[in-house]
Amino acid sequence: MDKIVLDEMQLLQLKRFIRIEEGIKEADVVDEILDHLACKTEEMMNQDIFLSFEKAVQAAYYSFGFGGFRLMARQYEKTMKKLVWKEFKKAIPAVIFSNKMVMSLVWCCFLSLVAFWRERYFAENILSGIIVYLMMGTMLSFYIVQFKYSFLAKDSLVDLRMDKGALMWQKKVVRMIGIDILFLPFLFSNFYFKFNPFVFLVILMLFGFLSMVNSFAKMETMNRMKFKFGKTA
Amino acid sequence: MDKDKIIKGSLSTIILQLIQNNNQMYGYEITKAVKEASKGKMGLSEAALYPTLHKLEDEGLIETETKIVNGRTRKYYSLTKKGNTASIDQLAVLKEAIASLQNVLKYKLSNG
Repeated sequence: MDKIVLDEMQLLQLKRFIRIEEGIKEADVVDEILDHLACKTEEMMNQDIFLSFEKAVQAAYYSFGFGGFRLMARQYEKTMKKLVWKEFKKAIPAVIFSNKMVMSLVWCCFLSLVAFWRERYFAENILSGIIVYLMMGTMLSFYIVQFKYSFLAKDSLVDLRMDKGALMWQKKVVRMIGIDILFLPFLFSNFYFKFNPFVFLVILMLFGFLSMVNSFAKMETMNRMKFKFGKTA
Repeated sequence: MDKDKIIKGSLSTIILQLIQNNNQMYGYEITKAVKEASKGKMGLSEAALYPTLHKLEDEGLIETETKIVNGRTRKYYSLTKKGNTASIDQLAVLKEAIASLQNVLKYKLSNG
């Protein structure tokens, strides 16, 4: 007799169960759990041909133990974060020493010199300039890592994972730096220009642009997920 | 005593060794291999297996490849170069520990 293999409808049912009832969202983890559950269900159904699909799934599900799916998802999240961190570490120096960033540092130094000439606060100015420079560089690196992976090969699982990982990091960074960035004009207030509405406006615009990029990249990821599951879900 | 507790400590060694012996394995195959090789006396739970696999991947000891089998995506794990050396090292450590344990269990005080 032929071995029982789950059909498309049954796989769809399992996928629905994992994604909706168990709340696992990461495509990679869903795939892995799905394959395992399906293998186990098939084996049980092959051993006992009178066993119904539902009962076999239930038994297979219990083998994961309490919170088993979640544990998998959590470990997966950690792995992704580390992967992206590796990429990110490579991106920082590239961004910080890029022409445009170096030009902005030169500009900061120039402003500091002007301030020194007018008001003699050289040390504070240079310090705030460098802090702003490093903050911007770090933030930009995250966006570049994310950008790189959100537009790479569409079916590659690794790229999708990196993209997801970058999104998670980015959320963290935006939470950490995103609010601080609104205070940048006050950092600049050490410069010759006290509170500069122009600098404030430029930073607001930059912030708006970054959030636009962010939502665009998110849309990209969601579209791709739809594309990935489009055939079955 | 629960046998599963004993294998928990050497889980990564077991997984690395199994993958090394079979070149390429997927998650379900690993649990099945442990069960079959121990004739059902040892069980590897999914809740322990996958986090360990992801951790090993994270450490760069194993790498993954996905294939479509029976209409679903299957993730195959294989050892990296680093994983190969780690597997050999960890197996040697485990064997040594087992030998020491056997000696401890046989030990009797000579002047007791």
